[in-house]
Amino acid sequence: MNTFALQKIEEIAGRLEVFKLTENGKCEYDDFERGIEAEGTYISELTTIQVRLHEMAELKSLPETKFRDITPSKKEKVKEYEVKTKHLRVYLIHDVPNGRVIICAGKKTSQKKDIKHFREVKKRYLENKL
Amino acid sequence: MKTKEELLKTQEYWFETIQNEIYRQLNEYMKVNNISRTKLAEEMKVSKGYITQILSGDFNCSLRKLIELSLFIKKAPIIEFKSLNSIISEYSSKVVVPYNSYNDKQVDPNAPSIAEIANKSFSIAYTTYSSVGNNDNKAA
Repeated sequence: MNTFALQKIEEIAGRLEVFKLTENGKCEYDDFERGIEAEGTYISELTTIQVRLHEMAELKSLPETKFRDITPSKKEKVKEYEVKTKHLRVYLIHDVPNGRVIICAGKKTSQKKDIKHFREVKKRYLENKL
Repeated sequence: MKTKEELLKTQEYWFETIQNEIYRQLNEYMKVNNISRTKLAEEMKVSKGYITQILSGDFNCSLRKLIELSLFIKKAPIIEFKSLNSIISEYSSKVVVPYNSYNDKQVDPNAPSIAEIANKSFSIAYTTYSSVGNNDNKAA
């Protein structure tokens, strides 16, 4: 059985708390950030993503082109969100009281596959919590 | 992940937060005046695409356009230059009021938020716009 844990992102001091999900000690978002920094092409967009995460945590409204609800249906209890730039995507859920959890992230080119993966991890995480 | 203090030193932070503030101002104007994108474009004598661009948070036009847009929505675009260090120390002493789903829903939607009251002496991202005259938010 996989072990999930939430790691609070201390750098984001907003009205909502923001966490990163780790699975067996591995954080997909950290890997994503490291990958983007090493690659070097989208460092500016990564900074923009971080600004958008700060604004989201401060409960500021953002255009749908930058931050949107991607919950597939109204029946779904745990809301899903996407923070996006031209080439990058970050996938989150609203989970713990007044908190958002970053599950994973990826590039626009792989968004279909990434959203599928995001929902699989979300499902495993929520089942694990029960 | 960069801290807010680190982000304050980046071009991306200022570009993004100013763009988003312009989006919020125009969006609020449209809501208050119950006006569509098409009608707004007609009144401003601009293309619908230009309005869509702003509402996508993608305003990157000239200073003249910013002033034109601001005055149209009866706001003054106040630009203030402060030392970066003073902005960073202002942010460091900012009080974070956690969201409370019960209390936050009780307040008057037009009243300033608890966080805004707690931070009213701070300038970061709260003072981009000021109202012009007494008839702000009324369609021209």
